[in-house]
Amino acid sequence: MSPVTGRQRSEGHPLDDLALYALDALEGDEAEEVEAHLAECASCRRELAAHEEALGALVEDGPPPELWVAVESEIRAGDVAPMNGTAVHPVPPNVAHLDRSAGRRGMRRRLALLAAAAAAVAVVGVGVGTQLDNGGTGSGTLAGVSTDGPTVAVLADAHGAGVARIVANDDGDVLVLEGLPALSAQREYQLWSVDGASPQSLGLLGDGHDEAVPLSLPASTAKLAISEEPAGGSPAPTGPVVASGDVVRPA
Amino acid sequence: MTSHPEAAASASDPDLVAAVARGDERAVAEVYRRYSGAVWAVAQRVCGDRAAAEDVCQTVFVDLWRRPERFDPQRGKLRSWLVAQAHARAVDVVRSETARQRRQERAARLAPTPPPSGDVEAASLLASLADHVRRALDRLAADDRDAIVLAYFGGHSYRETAALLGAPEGTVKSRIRRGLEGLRRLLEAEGVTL
Repeated sequence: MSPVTGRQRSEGHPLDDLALYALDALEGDEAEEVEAHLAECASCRRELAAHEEALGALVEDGPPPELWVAVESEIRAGDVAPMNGTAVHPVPPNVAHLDRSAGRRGMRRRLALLAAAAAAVAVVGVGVGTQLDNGGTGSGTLAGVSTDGPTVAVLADAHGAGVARIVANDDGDVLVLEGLPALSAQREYQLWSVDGASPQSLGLLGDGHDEAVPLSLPASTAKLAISEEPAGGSPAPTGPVVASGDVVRPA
Repeated sequence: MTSHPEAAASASDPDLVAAVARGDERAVAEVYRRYSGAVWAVAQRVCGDRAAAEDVCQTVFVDLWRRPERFDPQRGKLRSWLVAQAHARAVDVVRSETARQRRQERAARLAPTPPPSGDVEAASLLASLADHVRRALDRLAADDRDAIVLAYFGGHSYRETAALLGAPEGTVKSRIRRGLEGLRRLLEAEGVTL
């Protein structure tokens, strides 16, 4: 904080600036100074929340605007729930221009992240409740790999759409990818067994192009997830889970 | 959150956000049902432009879906947090727009500083507010009220607000803080419901 003046402070708390910050009335560096202070000062964080509460009371509750369809289509457009609180999500193109000065709100984000950081990495229930394809039998070949055989698992995205399945055929299991979003060259999909406390890697899946990947799942595998990782994969999941599902072997 | 649709309607705000973090789309829909009216109201007031307000509103809820961990239920209420997010984004829109206009104006002409017009703008902003909100603001000292209204609803920085009011920046800072603290007292101590 610059020693310059004009900033009335009370016992080191920039209370004038905090009020201005609550109104988004500071400019550039000044907001960052307040954010730096907020990161270290619980009492100013409480003060800010109380300011926001009062300002929120100045805003009337209108009826919901008719924008839900647009919001819904955007949250369905390939984005998925994070595997943990630290997942990085892409900025959708049509709101990128609003994020230009997102640094001003960077601290509000970081503070919340700190709060969330305590949460253990846990694979969340993405797409649970997806039914298997009635144990249906697929048929055909993809990239030279037979995909004949009963479907024993469907991996669905956050909205329940199947994007991959496991087919048990005579030679072993085959993972059939059918609808994962395309990835950039720096990213790669990775398959995990998520039965135990920590997910176990079952292999890398490349960029998600439709294909059939032969694999042999450990017999004990009951839950699978696919996450997006840096190219080359990760020892433990770091990116968002894009699909998950249960393995159900025919009795 | 369970699979019953009606569960979302009765869930607490923190439970809803936790469900959003688990990828539950119904939970976002419920948050939207509860608070999009307020988010929309602040976005539209500050932006003064329907399309920009729609962008802001949409972004706030998509952002909640993408980064639900940013909301910390320990710190405050979901509604005021969402309103603050919307306000910040709306101000970003307005600032980038006014900065652009200002550059154009500077380029176009060398004009003398226009006379302070804050009183007029503050009055017109005030007139546009709901009656109960205006009545609450009217309980503040007029100077404090005008500074708050120009900064919060006008989306002006404190420097712009000072220029609009023809008052020193330090004075405007003090007015805004005093006004905000006054509002809090109205809400907290005197139990005024805005």
